[in-house]
Amino acid sequence: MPRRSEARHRPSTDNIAMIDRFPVILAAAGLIGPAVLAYHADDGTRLGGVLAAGHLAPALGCLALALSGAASLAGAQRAGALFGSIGGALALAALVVAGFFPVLALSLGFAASEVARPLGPGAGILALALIALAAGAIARFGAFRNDRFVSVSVVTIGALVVLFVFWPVLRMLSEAFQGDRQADAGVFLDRLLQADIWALDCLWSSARCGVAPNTVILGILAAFFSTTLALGLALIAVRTKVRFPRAFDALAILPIITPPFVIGLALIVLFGRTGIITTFLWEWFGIPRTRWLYGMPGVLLAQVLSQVPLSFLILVGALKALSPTLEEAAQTLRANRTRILLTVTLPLLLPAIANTYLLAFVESLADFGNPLVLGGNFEVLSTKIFFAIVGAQHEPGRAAVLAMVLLAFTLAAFLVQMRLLANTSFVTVSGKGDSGVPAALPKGLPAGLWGVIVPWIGLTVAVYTIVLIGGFVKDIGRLDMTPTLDHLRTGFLVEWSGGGLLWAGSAWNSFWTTVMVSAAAAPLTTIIGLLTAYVLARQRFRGRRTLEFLTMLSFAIPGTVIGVAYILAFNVPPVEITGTGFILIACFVFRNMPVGVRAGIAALSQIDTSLDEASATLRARTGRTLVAVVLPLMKPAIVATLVFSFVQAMTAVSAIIFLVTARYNMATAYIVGRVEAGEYSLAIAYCAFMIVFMIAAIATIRFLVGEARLGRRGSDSIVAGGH
Amino acid sequence: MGPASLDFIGVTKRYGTVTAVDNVAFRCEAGTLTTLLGPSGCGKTTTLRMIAGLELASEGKILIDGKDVTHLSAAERDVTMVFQSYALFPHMSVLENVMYGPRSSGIGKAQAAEMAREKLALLGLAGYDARLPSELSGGQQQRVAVARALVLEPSILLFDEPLSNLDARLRRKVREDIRALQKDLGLTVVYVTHDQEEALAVSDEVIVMSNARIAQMANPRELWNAPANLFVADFIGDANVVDGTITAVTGETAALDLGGASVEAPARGLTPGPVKVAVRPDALRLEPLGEGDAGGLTGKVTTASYLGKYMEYEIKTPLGELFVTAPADGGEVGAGARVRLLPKGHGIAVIPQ
Repeated sequence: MPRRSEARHRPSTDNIAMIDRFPVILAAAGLIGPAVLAYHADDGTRLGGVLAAGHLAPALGCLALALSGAASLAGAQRAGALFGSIGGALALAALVVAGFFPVLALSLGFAASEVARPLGPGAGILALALIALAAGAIARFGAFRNDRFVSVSVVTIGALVVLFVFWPVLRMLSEAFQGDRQADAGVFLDRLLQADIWALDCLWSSARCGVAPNTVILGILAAFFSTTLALGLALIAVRTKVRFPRAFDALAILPIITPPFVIGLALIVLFGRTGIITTFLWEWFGIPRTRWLYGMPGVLLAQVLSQVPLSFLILVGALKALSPTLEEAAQTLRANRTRILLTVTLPLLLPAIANTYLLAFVESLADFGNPLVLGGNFEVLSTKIFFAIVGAQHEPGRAAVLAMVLLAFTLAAFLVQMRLLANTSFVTVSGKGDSGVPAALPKGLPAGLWGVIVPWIGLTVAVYTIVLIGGFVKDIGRLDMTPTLDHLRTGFLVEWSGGGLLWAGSAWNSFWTTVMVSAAAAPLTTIIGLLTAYVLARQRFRGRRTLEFLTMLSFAIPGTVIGVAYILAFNVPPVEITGTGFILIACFVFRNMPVGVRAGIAALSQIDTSLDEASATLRARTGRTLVAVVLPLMKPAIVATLVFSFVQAMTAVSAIIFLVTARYNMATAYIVGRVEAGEYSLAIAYCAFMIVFMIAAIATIRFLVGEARLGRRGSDSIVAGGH
Repeated sequence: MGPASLDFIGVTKRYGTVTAVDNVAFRCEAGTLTTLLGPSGCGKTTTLRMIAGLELASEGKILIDGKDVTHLSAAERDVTMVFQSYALFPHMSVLENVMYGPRSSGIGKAQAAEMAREKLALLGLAGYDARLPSELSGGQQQRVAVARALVLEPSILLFDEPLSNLDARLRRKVREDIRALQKDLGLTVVYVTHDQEEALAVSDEVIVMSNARIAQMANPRELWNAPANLFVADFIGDANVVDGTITAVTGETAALDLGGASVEAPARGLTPGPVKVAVRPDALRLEPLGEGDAGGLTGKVTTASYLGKYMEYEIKTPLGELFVTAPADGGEVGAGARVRLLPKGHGIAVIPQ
């Protein structure tokens, strides 16, 4: 019998003779990592160099790792845990002080060459090893119910989230107060109370409003129109005999894999000054060409078009979940169709409607691509932030203030949403016999709805037709419909030369960077997201709510805000990673992680905890339970998170537009560049290429992960609860 | 490891301000079947989960085979459990489910499969190796769960309401199978149920729990005949608890006056005076009462329900409303009838306070 199973028969006090491999592995990784890879990023010094220079943090770290590893090898578990927890914590504290608190560090006697230096991958590995070492060691002393797996997971995730979410936001807030010389509330107030942020003149005169009212008005209108349209569509889809063709499902999915500004781009081709429809109207009806599209109307139209499908999906789900028996009850109480709709159906839908509305509002606030492409002189917070950073006068402080305003609006919307969802959740699916026939819609309503919906569907189809064919005709903007592969060739030419492939097209560089970054980010997002979901949903520990809040925080932060926060926080030591591919990956991972957490928690709530418990009573430790029992049952959530994080990384624009460089250019940033240069056809061709690529990638992910093998789904063994 | 004894020493479990198990102490001997019985929320499941290590005690000690396991996690204890929902891994075949424990303990694949097949055969499931749990009936699923728990030959085997997901006809058979298995293998079993008939039928010892504490621990016969307190008397066998008087004590026997009827019962160390008395529903015989006929314990039938095998009566008496059952053998009385209630000589116990 192997060692492990023998050890379990002994009480915990006398397994001293057992070697604990965990600290040994960590010691090896933590010492070899910085010995091979750079400890300091600027001059490439490795571990040997920094130790010779008498640097305190790496010396302490090496000492803690070596002592803990050696003690474990010698079988002295308690000593190992003691070295691990105290030594690890001291070394980490030294790292933090040296990196983030230079004045304090110098006064504490740190070497000047150690303080405020950019850290390299070697230092990253050392830090991670120390975090895991200390976390594992405190579990030996009873933290996290003695569960080392949980302890290491929680502490590591917490440290990463603090570094990549909390710290950038904090750094941005402090930048908002930072004047030329010193931090100061006056500077902050001066920046905050600018007229171009808050002016309300547009409400009563022809003067322009500030960006804050602009953003909020746009958000309110976009949310109103998209929710209303989606509600009408949902009522037609669920409550009338009309069966939408299969193609409609695709139409609902397409916007999710479409880069966010594509719709704006297609609208320009349709309705711009020289657009197809504008030209048609001018030539046939003499309606003059105008620039109406550039400004609020165009942005609004683009946002509504891109938001309706998602809102539709939410509302259809909610409508289908309504118990028909409630409407039947209303019918037996002599309510007519209109009365049922107004007094039963809609009130029960209200939480879902409010949710949809707030989601659309938040999406509109966060939208960067459409205002950039279509905004013209109409400015919103996200674009204003962008130009404060990249514009002629580089004003990070101003950008930080604007970002704070945007963040405040978004957080307020999220708070309202949480309140609403907490107080008014009508659980209408009881699991009991719920058959019945829902009430028919009031007479005349379907016809009225169709009157609105048909033009909308027409517009959506037109938009996507433009996207799909625009790249393959000579110049769709001028209605030159001669088929051509020129644009595709410009972007994606591949030549066979000298025995190798030559990626000659101009788009390949950004395309491969995007694919690589997305392919690296997606699995990391999934692992961190689902692991977080598991510890949040299945483990009880102190600080659970804090961890949950921190992970959700990054979800509430608009991409532009994250972009600003990242360049402010990571442009300086100790974590100086702007301009690298790593910052792009980190940005995607921590931005999309909350979706993984949500999907994971939802999936875990479907898996009875008695399965975890059964596994534990059968001698499986937490790690094995997770791998052998929980993960296989979470395959749908794994696929969903992989797909979502991959697609988001491929199509995101708002955050990464701040982070791309010539070397690490992303597809969306490249396309935005083409749009700004007026090369619409190439931009459209690129979008079409990406859409096709993503559909293929999604199919591949589904194929690789596979389906959960459960026989009858939702059989007793999954659904039945213990108590 | 063979079957082991289990000791709870002053064990308390708190969730925040709620005390789920309050200073509980008991001992289960090796090779016996002990039932935790009580209404929902009494702490019996929490107690079971503390044995398994799924909950850690807030205070007190838990010993298995005399060794302190209080701070060991579930994976470190030599205890396995059959869950109420069976908790079969839905993505694993029957064989994989049963192999899971040995594999987690680091035993090689071939040996684990052999151990699993042996236990599956013991439970009459040979040949079901490749099935998924969803392809089995409820009874078969449960036997897989038992095989999976048995395969590690644990010191203690736990059952959490194992019959609650089975239909009524299967329950009696499965209950007998579990008892036979326990006796044949000499297992130490702790068994949670809220069904008193089930508890009486399978147990060596029954621990009745109420409000996070042990109300009584006794063997089934003792529990029925000598309830330690009002709760146990009421919970086991729906006894009527009435006020009586001990008129005299002779040796171990007390003479009781129950609203005019005289009856004898074990004295249980009580002295003459007022006393609470548990009267089982089947402890009284009914006799129709003529006009002017008085004396003894009399009452008026308020409801009479025919249940096939027997009658159920609610009878209004000077002692209060009494619940009485009587054979449906032709001598039934109807609602409104006046009756005399005669003690049969068993099923009446004084309750020490």
